[in-house]
Amino acid sequence: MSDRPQITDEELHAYIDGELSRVRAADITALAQYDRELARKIAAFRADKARLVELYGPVGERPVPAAWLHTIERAQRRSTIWPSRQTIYAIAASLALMVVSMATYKIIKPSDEDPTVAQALAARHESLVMTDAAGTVSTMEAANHVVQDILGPTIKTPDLSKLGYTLAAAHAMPERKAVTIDYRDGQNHVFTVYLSHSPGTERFDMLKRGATRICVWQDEELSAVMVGEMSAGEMLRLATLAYAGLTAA
Amino acid sequence: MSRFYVLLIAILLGSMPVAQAGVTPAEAEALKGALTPVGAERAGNAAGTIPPWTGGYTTMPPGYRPGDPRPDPFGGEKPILTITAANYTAYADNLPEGAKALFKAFPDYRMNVYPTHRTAAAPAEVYENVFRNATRAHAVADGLSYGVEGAAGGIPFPIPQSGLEVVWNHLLAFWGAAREAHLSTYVVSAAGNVDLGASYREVADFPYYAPGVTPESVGAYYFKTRHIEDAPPSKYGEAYLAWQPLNIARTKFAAWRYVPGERRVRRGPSLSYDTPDPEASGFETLDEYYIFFGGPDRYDFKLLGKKEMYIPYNNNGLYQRPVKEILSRNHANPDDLRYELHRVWVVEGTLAPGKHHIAPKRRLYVDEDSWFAVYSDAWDEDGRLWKFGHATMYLVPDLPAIVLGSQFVYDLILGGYVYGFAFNGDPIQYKVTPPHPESAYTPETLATEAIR
Repeated sequence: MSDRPQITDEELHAYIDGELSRVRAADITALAQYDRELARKIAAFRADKARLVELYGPVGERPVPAAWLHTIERAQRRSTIWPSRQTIYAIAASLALMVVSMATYKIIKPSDEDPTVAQALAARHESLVMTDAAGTVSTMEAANHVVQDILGPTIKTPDLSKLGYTLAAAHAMPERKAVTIDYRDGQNHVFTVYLSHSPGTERFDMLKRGATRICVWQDEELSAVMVGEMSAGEMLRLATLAYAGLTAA
Repeated sequence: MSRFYVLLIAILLGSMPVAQAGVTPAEAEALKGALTPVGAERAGNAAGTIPPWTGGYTTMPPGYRPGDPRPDPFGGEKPILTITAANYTAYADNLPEGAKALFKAFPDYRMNVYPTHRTAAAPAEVYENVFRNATRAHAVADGLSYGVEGAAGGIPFPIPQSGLEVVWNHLLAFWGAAREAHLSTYVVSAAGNVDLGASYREVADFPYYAPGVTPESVGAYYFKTRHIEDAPPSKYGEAYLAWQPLNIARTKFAAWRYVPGERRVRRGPSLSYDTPDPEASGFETLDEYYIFFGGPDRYDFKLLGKKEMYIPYNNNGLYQRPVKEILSRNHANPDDLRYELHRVWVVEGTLAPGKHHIAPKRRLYVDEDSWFAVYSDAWDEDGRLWKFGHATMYLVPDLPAIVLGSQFVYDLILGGYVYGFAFNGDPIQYKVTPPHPESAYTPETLATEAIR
């Protein structure tokens, strides 16, 4: 079982299409340098995209079906302004591309559309890869400083030793105003707590992506996404201890 | 009308939530005859092992003061049967899956079965309301998964036609109009270590059972509760407030938490569904409170039928035992629990389309006399039997009623269990009170009442 969760396919497609923020795109570029599997996936998605363009790219240059032209021309007869023939072709080509795009999107649409979860999984991936990077701390006291610098003085680094997990590393992610805290148990299983400011909505969700269990627990101020390869029962116990520990007296 | 329009109307009607209604007035008359006032079979069983219902147990001990520990009226009885790991298969049809799993796993697990006493009772006003509810209770506009309308002051569906009606009867079963208690939650690990999860002062009101209540006056919430924790030290001063709506499509579940370190009240997270119970270290989810609690909308509930089962009942003796004695390794001490043969409704819930829950299948066993679920089996997403909820059933003649009482929730996969709503050893036990003012349940009051 791998300890490293994948960056979601949705995020990778956005990365390839240039739709990610500059910061996030830079993160993925950097990660791909460390992670051969991620680099291979990016290359595979780029190849898929190239094949799609190859298959459907000439659609815009093909003759517009006569029935479409007839419909458009009939509509234009009622109009006082007559667009040029090129404009009609462009509209028809756009329609054709729209149909192709919708069909393609349906094929490649990723299943995970949850930005909170995607962000937490990406952050976990990043934190596991960059264990020795600058800004990484591994004592409870230092982790508390990291957490409180980013999230405020009342939030604490949870102590999970009661369930056999000890702090492995905490990373500040100031550009996202988030913190990732990794814990490991005696068998080197990793449990990650990704903390950020809440979007303002309450939420509790337990999700599963392959062997990875994800628990999203947030109130109107704090969002905690907890990730690990474990059963639902184990996640319930760990998530409860972690969530309670964030605000423990 | 053309066949097309007939089909169209049928499709439209089929896609609309069905406003399930109660029974006809003629059917409701059974509540004054073959059925008890709350819809149970008045007669005993053919074997004579379940006696007829004769009005329940309403005898108050002389000099009783509200909140005093209630005596065990059947304390002198001896077991008539002991079900053990060696003979449980002979009684398999009368046991829930969770109990069978405990018999399989632990050779020392057993059930002492005593003579059946149909002690369930309710005030006359509750019986009158149940009779009225029988013909007037119905689903809210979005369907019975989301709530009940047209009912108050008694269970809504005494002659149930569906699994959801039975579930609503459990959710709206009679506990009295209000109570105060000091309760504790204990967590027993798979290794047998006992931890105090939380001790708290609870104030609870059931506006659904307020004196003189009608469907028009009942309001949006049927249950309100406030917990203020006083132990263990790490939880000292934490506080919770929760309001449970009658129509969860229209009025959202509302909860607040007071965090002592911040000295302020925060809204949420929603204390409902499969959110872990913060007082039970994640051993149980919040909808495992009271065996099943909160919105039933995440499941499609199917009525499997009614059967005779060995269930925990009249367990007043349990509350007089020390916690240390009750919480043995792997399961509760069998010597402290009393079981009786009763008829229960069996309801099975499977995950509703588009919904999610960490326990996608669960089965509830609901006592015909009190309408409380006494057991629940729950399976995980891989189809493994995971949780076993086990009520205790506490006789409260001063209400009069038998109520769900303390409960156990076993984790059959990871091991360990929780003992919740425990009040053993407390001098004031489950004090029945007049309704509290609405101001008792505001976030402002929560902050004021919290200890620090």
